[in-house]
Amino acid sequence: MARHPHRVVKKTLRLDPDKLAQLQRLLQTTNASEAVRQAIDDTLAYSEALQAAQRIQRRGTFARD
Amino acid sequence: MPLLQLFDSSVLIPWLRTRHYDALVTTAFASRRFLLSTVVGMELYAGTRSRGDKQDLDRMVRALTEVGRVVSPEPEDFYTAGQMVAMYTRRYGQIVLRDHAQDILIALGAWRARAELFTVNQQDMERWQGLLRRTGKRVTIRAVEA
Repeated sequence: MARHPHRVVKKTLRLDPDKLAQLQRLLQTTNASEAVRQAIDDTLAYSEALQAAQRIQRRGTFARD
Repeated sequence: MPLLQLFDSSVLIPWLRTRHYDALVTTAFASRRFLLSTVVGMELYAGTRSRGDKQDLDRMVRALTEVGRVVSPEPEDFYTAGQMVAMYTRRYGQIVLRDHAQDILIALGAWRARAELFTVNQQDMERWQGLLRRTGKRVTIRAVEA
């Protein structure tokens, strides 16, 4: 289940180094950039998935005969 | 790393249909712990009644797949499922494989992903949990009240 490659750019961000290290440990990534990318990817993907599910709920046709 | 949470169709179908268990499932998304089984996904696709529902389910599956939050049975899991049904039949009497294969494959998915398995069908899942434990496969079941 490989993650899709995305275009990446350099950005200067002001981050708490302790929290960044904590995130890296939590996500078990090899470096801080990867941890931030993964957190962003996960957050956006879950948001997109939930929004799609909520559209199904609002439509009101799912599993109705 | 917090445990992932796998919901079976006894939870997700009412959730999509009537927003039952909304707080439980929405929290799993918000905390990024939601894990989809392809077996459950198959059951969800069977519940679509409009092109819009199908397209939105496509989007949901695609988004979760992109971040590795979809688990699918391995070839060995199908053989294990058959063995579980045989084991149950020897001990307690005849049951039909097709009535139980999906539940066992979902439970095996939870075991593979080390995820908690949320179900309304506690009794059915605990049956398979017990037999899987005998083969060294531990699954954590979280009963959801109907």
